[in-house]
Amino acid sequence: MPAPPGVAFPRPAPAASARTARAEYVERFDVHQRIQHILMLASFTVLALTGLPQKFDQLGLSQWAIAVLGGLETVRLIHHSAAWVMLFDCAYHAAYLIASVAVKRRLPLGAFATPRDFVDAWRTLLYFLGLSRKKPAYDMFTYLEKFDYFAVFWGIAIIGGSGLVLLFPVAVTAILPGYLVPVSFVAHSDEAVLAVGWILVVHMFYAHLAPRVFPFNTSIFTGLARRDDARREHPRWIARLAKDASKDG
Amino acid sequence: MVRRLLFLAGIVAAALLAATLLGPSLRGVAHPLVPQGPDGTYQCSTCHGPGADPSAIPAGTTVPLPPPDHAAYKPDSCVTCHATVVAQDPTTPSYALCATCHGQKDKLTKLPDGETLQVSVDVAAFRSSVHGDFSCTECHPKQRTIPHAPLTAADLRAFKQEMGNVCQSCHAEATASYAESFHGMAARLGVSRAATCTDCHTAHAVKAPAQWTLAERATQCATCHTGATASFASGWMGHREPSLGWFPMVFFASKFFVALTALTLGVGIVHVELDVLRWSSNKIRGRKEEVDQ
Repeated sequence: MPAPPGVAFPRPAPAASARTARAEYVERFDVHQRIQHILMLASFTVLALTGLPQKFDQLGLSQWAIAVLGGLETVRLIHHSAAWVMLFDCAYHAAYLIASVAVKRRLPLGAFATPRDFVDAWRTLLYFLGLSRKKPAYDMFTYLEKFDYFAVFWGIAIIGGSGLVLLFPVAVTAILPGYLVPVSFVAHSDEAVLAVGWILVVHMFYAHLAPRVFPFNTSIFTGLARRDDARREHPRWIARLAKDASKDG
Repeated sequence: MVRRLLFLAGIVAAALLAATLLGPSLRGVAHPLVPQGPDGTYQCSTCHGPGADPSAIPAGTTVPLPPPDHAAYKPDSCVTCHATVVAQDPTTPSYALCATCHGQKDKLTKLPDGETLQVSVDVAAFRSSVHGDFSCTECHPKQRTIPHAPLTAADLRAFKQEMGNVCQSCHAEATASYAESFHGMAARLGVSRAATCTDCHTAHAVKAPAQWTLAERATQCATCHTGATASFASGWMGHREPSLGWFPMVFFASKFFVALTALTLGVGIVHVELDVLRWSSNKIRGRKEEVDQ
């Protein structure tokens, strides 16, 4: 049977086979993805905690935070260090994607949008509004999870790019026009506010507060999802896993 | 006879009164030629000293004696400070007095924390600056008395910020935009190397914005941003908000991100809320979540 389109990481990794063999769990994220998420989580948190006080420096809370961290020069040093961790994480992810293509001979497209996602989003809206009795059957990643992943892509491009301009303004303007510096100044912190807002409101809700996962969806840390939960939330993914298993068996 | 004498006395008195009221005061006009000794020192005490020579004093002139707090100064050293007296130029403005000391090169003073403050002024550059017609004490009111009171600023940063406040007293708009800039934010948060007014504009050779060439701006930027080019300097928006005609890319970027943030977060929040509402509705009606298999 040909591989279904848009499959990213469907096969259980050998290391997880002992646990997944009990069939209670399915592997959702491999070890590289889990490390990448932890690096992103840690660097993002540090960047937000050291960046927002700089954007809103007129607030008493910001001034307190900057003073506690040892002054603006220290805050900037911490911010830049965390930024390098995040950029390393992005390089790691890029290398991981390239390696996946090289080894698996397939583009890991599972987290990229397909026309089906737009249909899913529309049908979910109808379900939320009470115009449909049933929720659509999602694949391995829902349209919202795919958007979350895509948002990091665009966020890194804007925040990382503008951050490098602000870190090396003299070197950058030696090649590129000078107005990039004030543009980056605007883009960097505005996009950061969007990213922090999205993480706090949407990402935190679906990772912690949503009734289906409350209090904590651990799969990005353990790499495993309960098969029962996955069958409910990602039925098309589980159905495909079952087909693959029967074919292999 | 008595009436004639009273009439004459009246005329003299009126003339003296008119001379007093209408006659030129010494402030801003040439001081009469000051006699000099064989070594060139000005003999101020000939008129202003306790043993003044009345024949040297022009008739009808009142000559002030040095005030009591000048007792400590060497006799006939007056022109060290009162330089205008010997300038023989009625248009000599007040800065000439200050220039006697501050016009000298490498004039230094110490701040309370031990830092050295350069207090020399390039008088020619100051005179050709936008502030060239100002008297020194308009910006340096605390230095009105000589000898000057000790500086109150604890260190160089505090001194520069104190002087920045002086700039603010006229340039309120520029100060407001500075406060929003990265330089202003860093200065406010206590970064000692953050640029203040005088770091970019210099203290005395201040130019109007239109007078700056890009190369000059780059040179000024490079005093902190080593290697700054004209391209780097061209990214500085000055003390103006971006608009369609002024840094349109910055203008569009800020509008774009406000719209993007509002749209993205708006959609996200509505998504979360609708999800919660449908879940609550299911709970209330005792329905199970059904999935289209």
